[in-house]
Amino acid sequence: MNTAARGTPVPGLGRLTGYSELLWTLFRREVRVRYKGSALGLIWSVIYPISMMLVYTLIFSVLWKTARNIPHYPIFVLVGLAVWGFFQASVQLGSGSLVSNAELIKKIWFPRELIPTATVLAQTISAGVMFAILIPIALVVEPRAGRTLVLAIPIFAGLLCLALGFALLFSVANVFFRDVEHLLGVIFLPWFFLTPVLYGLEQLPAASTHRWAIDLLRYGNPVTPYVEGMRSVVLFGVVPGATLLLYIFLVGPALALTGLYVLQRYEDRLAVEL
Amino acid sequence: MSAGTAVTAGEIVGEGVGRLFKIRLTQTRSLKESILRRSMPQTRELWAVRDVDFHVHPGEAFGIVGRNGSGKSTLLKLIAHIFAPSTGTLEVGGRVGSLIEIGAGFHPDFTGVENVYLNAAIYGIKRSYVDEHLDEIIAFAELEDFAHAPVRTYSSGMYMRLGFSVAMHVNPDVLLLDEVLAVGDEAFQRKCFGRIAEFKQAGGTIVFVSHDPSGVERVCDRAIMLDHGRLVEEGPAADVVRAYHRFLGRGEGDGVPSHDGELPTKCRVHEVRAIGADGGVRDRMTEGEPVTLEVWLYAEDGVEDARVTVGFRDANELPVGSQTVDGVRLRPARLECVRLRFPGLPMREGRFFVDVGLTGENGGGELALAERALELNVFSNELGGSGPIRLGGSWELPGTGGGEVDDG
Repeated sequence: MNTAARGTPVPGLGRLTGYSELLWTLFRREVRVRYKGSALGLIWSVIYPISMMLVYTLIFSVLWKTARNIPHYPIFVLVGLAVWGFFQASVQLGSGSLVSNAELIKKIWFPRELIPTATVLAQTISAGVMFAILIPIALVVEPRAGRTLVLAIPIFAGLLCLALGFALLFSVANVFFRDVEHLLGVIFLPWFFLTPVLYGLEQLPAASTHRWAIDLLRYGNPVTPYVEGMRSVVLFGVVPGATLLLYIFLVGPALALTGLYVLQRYEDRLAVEL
Repeated sequence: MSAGTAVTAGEIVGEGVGRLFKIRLTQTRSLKESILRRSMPQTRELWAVRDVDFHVHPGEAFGIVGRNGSGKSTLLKLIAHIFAPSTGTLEVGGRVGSLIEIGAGFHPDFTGVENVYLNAAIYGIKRSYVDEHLDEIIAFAELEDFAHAPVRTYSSGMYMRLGFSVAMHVNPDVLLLDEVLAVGDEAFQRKCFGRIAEFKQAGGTIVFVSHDPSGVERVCDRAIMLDHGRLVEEGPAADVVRAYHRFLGRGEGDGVPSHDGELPTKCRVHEVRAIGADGGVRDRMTEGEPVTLEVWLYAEDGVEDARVTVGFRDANELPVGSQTVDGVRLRPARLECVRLRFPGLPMREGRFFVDVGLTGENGGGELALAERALELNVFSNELGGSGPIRLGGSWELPGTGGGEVDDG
């Protein structure tokens, strides 16, 4: 395993062969830490989005009545929260992962990308539980969704790539600038409101007069297509348009590869900086 | 930089190996700061290892000696693949087991058993193999009672025992050993050396780094000596160790404190040196010799009223003694020197380590701590004493001084 070329680390996936055991070990460890080895941790990661959904529904749908034109608003919000929650948790926790595993990185070599990867993969557990809860509900309120449901899997895979890409990039940045992890916390709040989790882009009252703003929000924010795509197949039973699908399946993997490239590019300096 | 020649398992070939570090002089660790200052951090270049050619044959025990900052640890990390060389090529054949700076890559929050699995997975060992050998690994490390405690609760000796045990049980082709063996108690050290000998007999390659030359002489066939990153001596271990002793005897004080590739932080203990009566830097002394400890400190923003503590520990990690001074003023962004003079070194015989701690105003928070900042080897020069302390005192025998008092 250590006969791999030195001098210039080979960028790419080739060097990961033979490390599935390590990824699995890191993943299980990550799951144990995240969910504290008890069901309560997992339940909490589900209760939180559901309670947020109830609050948003009360405010925006019942009291403010701005969300009247959105059908099945509670479940509409819940799908958005599931996608966003997975993304935010993955990127936030992934960004700190290299620094918190400094002891390991300083003393032994292995493909460092496995650390943020394991962190991101661990978040799929709570996302899986979320979808396991909301999909049956969605099927009840909108039986048509059954036809497109299977598309949720590739869309989620795209989302996973996207989250992984950001996690890899920020985890490296965080080694060089230790405040990146904290800056992310500040960035995530406006980012959340720029993502159509509580609202639908097309249902915004000014959607027809401000097309440029809608397009900017849709394609300028990489999370938006995944939120819209997921809603469309899980809740509305509609196959997303070609542009959206292309975006979903290109941007995520491209970002993951970029993250991988950057990490491998700076890998040598990680052990020095940590 | 080419793909390099193929090496067989257990072989290490380095050609023109060099490693450059950029040391940040002004420490900016936050994005906010570097944006506000609108400047990239100032850096200084340092070749920790430069133009080193060496060839370790399969089944050989190879030693690397040199003073602190000579680049030997960096070379070991290059072999371990933790750093990549900046120049030259370095090829290592087969699986590399490493024990660098105690704990071969342990996660502090994992339990002992989890770390065994994690470490084995890093080495590419199948889980089933670990399942089979887990009891053996734990038993060798003598950690049966602590196997399920997080390793951060371990003592450094326990840490090292587990690291050694894992490294030996993953059947590496090349075993990299840092100063680690010094941490264990004597009984375990013997066990380790026994196991290392077995490993060597079975045809394993060993690279052993130490500034304790006796260990190198004991374990290694061949050795190299590094100074300021360059290879200065090569040959049979005994010859190189002899050359190293000569080299140390010369004192080789180089005026400017050298640096081991560690990166500066806002406050740090830059270097600790022992200066002999002749003004030369020493790490071997004889008992009772006058010595001055120079503690070089650096504080980016300066400290008004710091406390400096210098403590000695013996080879078994037991505290021997410490001295504290208050009211130390460190000017910002300068290397400042605090000196502690001993008219006669109070140690008698053995290996000692010097720890230096820097704490803020009114004994407030710890600003910097350098453990084992200096190693001192002290040799006895008189008969009739024992133990690590130079006890001193003068005898008064019956019938001489004592008798006269009675008479008067």
